[in-house]
Amino acid sequence: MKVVIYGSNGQLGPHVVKALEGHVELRLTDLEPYDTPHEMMIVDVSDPDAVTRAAEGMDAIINLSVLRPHRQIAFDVNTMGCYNIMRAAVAHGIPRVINTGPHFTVQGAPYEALDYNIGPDVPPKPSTNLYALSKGLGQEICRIFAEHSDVYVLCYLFYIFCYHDDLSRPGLNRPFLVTWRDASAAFLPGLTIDLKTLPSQCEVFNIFANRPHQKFSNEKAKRILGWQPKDGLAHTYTKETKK
Amino acid sequence: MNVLITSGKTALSRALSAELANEHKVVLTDLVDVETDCDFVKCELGHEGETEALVQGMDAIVHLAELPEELKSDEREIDFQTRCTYNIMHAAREENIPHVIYISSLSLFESCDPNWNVTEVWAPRPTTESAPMARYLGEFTCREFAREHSVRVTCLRFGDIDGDGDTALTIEDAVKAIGKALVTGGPMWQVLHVQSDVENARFPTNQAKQVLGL
Repeated sequence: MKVVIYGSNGQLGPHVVKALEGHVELRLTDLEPYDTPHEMMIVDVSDPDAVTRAAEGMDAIINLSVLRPHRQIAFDVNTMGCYNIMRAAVAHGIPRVINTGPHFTVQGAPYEALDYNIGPDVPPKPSTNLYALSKGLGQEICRIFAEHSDVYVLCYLFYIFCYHDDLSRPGLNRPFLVTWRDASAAFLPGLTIDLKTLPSQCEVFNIFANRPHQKFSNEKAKRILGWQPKDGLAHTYTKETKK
Repeated sequence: MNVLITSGKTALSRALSAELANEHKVVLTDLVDVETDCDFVKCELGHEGETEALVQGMDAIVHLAELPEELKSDEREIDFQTRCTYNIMHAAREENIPHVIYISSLSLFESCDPNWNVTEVWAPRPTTESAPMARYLGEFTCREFAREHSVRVTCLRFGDIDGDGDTALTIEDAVKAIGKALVTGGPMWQVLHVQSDVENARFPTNQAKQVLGL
């Protein structure tokens, strides 16, 4: 299987590349070149021609591109990037796209402030936060393309990442926490799952560790993708007892 | 009332400004230069203060959200309806503008069975064509601001302006609907379907007639 990754050298990209090496043939793209044994292309996802060229001959697309604070570029990358990627998927007959974003792409502040056991299939309410809304619009574009084409979209939602051997506590007692290695391990199941077994052509998954908070739910990702997070990260939510 | 109208180059904005000028102070804006007797400000609707300056002192914004013909492309359509609409809504919130009227389109339901009696409670079903999809994304953007109680939004989904099909909407009816919406109170987020009373009209407009007193 040939897979193109957009935004392959960001925070999550190198972990995903490592998880997929040896399983699929990779074409990596990003704004700047970097050393890699895999095929490399320079692509700005806001450039439709470059996105289409990079998708040629691929069997699947992974979109890890993201931009948070700058208003123009956030829309260029998070919204227009999805538009360009979905058009490229349709143009090349690529059946599988894995799109990614923060959990508030769908489960934004209106949910987080009030609710518990929040699953990924709630109606999207990203809020007016620039990062959340520009990503939410990108995901809506993916959904619309999936409804009107042969492309299947799996949308993976993340929030806070950490290393499995990082035993520090401050700031990590968060419900939507996952280790880099567990997060990246969710991609191979997404690339290999029989698309016909998915409930619809556009499915959203919460990717985070098994946490006792019961604020969000990762049950769907485990049930449908067969993905199992290995790192419990119990130290992040248990008290440090004095000996 | 001080009213800002976007997409000042369109026939609708000209007709609307002519009608509103009798009772309101109207300012037109567009991304390109426009010859007009009205007050006009050319504005890219960017995020570096120009949109805030544009909306300052307004009591309402009518966002017609129509790209000038010479700028139209699929990419520009999506960018305009998402980023520029976000900038307008963001500026409206910053400058405490109480009401935005967003002009959307009944083309959001083009893929529906024409025999269905589609009303405002139906979920939009835009296709991947850039124009209807972009309008849907523009609505999506406005709705998040309304949800946060930042700005009241009236979303008018218009039929085919000056068209002759079963979704036709005359410019006169469009102007009338916007004029009524400007002076009618309502919830933070309200959607109304607006088309003219043509034979075998595709969309019922009872709600708009009732709310706006058309």
